[in-house]
Parts: sequence; structure tokens; C-alpha cells
Amino acid sequence: MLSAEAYVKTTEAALNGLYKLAVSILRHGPDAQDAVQQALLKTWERRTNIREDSFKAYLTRVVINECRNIQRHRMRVAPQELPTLTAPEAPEEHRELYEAISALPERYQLPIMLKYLNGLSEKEAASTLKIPVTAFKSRLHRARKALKEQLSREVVFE
Amino acid sequence: MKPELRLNQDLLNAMLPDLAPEAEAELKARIRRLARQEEEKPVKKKLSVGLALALVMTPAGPGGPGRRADRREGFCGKHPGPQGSADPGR
Repeated sequence: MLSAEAYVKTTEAALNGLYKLAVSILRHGPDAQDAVQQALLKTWERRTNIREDSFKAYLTRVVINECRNIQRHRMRVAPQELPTLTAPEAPEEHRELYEAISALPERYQLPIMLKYLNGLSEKEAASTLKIPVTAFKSRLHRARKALKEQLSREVVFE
Repeated sequence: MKPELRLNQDLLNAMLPDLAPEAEAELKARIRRLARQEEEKPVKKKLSVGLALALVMTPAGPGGPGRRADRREGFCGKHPGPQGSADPGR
């Protein structure tokens, strides 16, 4: 069972990164905040079934699921409003990168975000996406290749 | 040769907007409220167990074994009880 102390420590440390992940999926700040808030409540309610060592991956998974719920809700309620959603204000020097990452299909975008934004290990990221580690590595490889092709600058992945 | 771009956590962090400070503070306060509830729970549990024990051990009504025992031991509480006289005119 996840202790209250571990819950507070992990969630507070991951909060901003989770919000950014949600923004990259939803491209809408208030919706991203809702997704994170819902994920926090759901993981708290389920904490008796969560192991401490896998909590970060689990929390990230719930945030992604909440983003998908919001996307489905948007499609049901107001599909005509989708094109009005705007990209967050990325600084000018990062705009090209932002647009290149946004242009990737979600199956390639998420591995980049989980590994390079949220700092998950390959094992944690694979568990978050519920795919084998080999499949995660393959998606990451394709995502990197696509980004290298799209960007005008030479990309070094660190 | 293309200019170099180092894709790492710092770059992606800078690329995406931060959670607004007031929203972050609100979410953190909510997290801590939830955790505080957890800390308070065991106390509530002890009280409810204590209450349950008290209910089990207390006789159901007047004239029960507990009350007889009180009389044997010369119980003289402040409350008059059902046989006592609360009415000074009696």
C-alpha cells in the first residue's frame, strides 16, 4: 500500500511535469489542469492497491487516461470547437521543436514526452503505456528518426 | 551542416508552459488535505471501537444488571434516574 507520505512526495515532485504532459496532449491549459486534478483524486482513492515503486508510472498512466477522457468528452459535446484549440505559448526558439513534436502521432509523441520530459525510465514508460519495453524502444526510435527528419537543426537526444 | 539542438528535460520543460503558481498551490493544498485525512483516520477508528464497546457493555434500560450493580455499590450520581425525584414537590 502507498503511504500518504509517499503519495505527497511523489505527486508534488511530479505535478508540473504531469501538467506539461497533459498540455502536450490536450493543448489547453485549463483542461490539462482538470486532467491532473482528476488523476490525483483517482490515484488517492486507489492508493491501497498501488505499490510505491510503481506509483510514478501509474500516476502518469492515469493522467494520460484522463486526457483521453477529456478528448472523448470534447468530441461528444462540441466537435466543432476542436479547431479553435490553440497551442500553448512556446518561446520562439522552441516553436519549431514544439510543432515537430505536436505533428507526431500520439504513439510516437508520448514516448518522447515520457522519457525526455517526465524523466521516466524505459521500463516505467513502457509500463505507463502498457506495452513491452521492446515496443517502447521501437516507438522511441521511430519518433527520434521522425524528429530528426522534420527539424532544420541537428538533434542530439540526451 | 545543421546547427545542433540538444533535446533534454530542460528544453522540453522550457518549451511547454508551467502550471500557474496559484493553480499549483491549490493542487498541493488539495494533496496535503487528502494526506491529512489519512492521518486523522486511526483516531476516528479508535473512537468508534470504543463507542461500540461502550454500547455492548451498557445495559439496555433501567433496572438492568448495570444499574443494580450501581445500587449495590452505593452509587449516588448527580442524575436522579427514573426512580429519583427531580420534582422537589414530590
